[in-house]
Amino acid sequence: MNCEEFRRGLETAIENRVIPDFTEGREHLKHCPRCRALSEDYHIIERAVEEWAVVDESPDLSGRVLAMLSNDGDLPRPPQSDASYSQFVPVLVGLSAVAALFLIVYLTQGLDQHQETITQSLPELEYQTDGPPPLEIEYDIEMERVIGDTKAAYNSFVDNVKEPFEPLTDAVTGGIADSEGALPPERAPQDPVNPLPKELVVFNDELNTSLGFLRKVFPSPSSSP
Amino acid sequence: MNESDAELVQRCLEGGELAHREFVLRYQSMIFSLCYRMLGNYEDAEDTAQESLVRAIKSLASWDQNRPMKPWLLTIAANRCRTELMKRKRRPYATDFPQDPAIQDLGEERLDLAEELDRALQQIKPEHRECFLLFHEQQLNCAEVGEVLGHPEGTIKTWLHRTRNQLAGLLRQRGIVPELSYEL
Repeated sequence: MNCEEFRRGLETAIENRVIPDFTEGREHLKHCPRCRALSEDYHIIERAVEEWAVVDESPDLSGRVLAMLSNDGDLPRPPQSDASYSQFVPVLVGLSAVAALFLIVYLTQGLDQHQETITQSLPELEYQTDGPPPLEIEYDIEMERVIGDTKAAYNSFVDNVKEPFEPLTDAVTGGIADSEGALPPERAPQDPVNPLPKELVVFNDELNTSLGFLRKVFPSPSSSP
Repeated sequence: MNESDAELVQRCLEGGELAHREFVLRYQSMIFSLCYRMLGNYEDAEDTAQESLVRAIKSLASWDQNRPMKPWLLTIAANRCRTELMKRKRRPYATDFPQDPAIQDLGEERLDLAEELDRALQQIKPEHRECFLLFHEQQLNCAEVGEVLGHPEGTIKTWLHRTRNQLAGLLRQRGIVPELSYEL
């Protein structure tokens, strides 16, 4: 027997809780101090464990444990004590299911109605099965609405800006003409044919230019298809 | 006639203070013993054992009746012990066992062998100490110890032999020698 065999035999006996047979290894132990030390260690521990019992000074923990369980309220209860609570559980579950179903149906119907509104407002758009997908149709609808709103805003702008501007221009020119009469001769405007100040003329030109541009971009409602 | 573990657990699950009390009385020694030898302090062992039993009773519904009760309970207790040992890293604690048994005072009376072994165990790494306790004190086999500690059986065997060798060395330092009955 060699050291490795002796060590494996000893460990196997320990693991299986059987007394190792040193008879075979006796000759080996005579000449191997290392294995002899292993066998001595084995005996020391076995003797200590034999005298070493389960602690018999265990306190009685039952009172404290039961008190903790009662305080936590997690003790398993007999089925009948839960009756008042448990009978409502299926009702609540059922109500929740009905509410969920109702919500699904309502939302689905709402979507259908919205779809109908879209299709009704677009008589010129023919929805074909092989036509553009619904997403593009909705985009077209939205663009039409934006364009229409912008046209309306433009028309309103033109009406609101142009109308008051004319009397304003008249008032300004009238005022300027009056003030020019009060000016000393050397301060009189150089060009009596055009009584408007130069800045007002420039502003008026710029406004006409903008109006012309807007008319090109947004033709008048009468010219739309 | 002794009631089986499964029958007792069933009564506990049905409720009733009497069943819970019987459960505690049946297992408190085993759990307290492990906690005491793991923690080395009586009060801490009491608290930890109490917590372990409370947790066990609350979790009885999850116990598999086809498996033995002992490893399941000891797993709970071992986890609580580990938690307590982690807490100790953050606060000072007192142990009932002297910290350094290697220094032998000439005037000091040697303890009996079991007490020397308890003292020496406090010198061992907690994981290895747990392994030794579960195998030798609680009489679990290596596979069951592995289940409780969450390690493979091979690792448990290695730890077991290493711990035994370490303990033997510590006991030798305390002057304990083997009583060999065979002649070399």
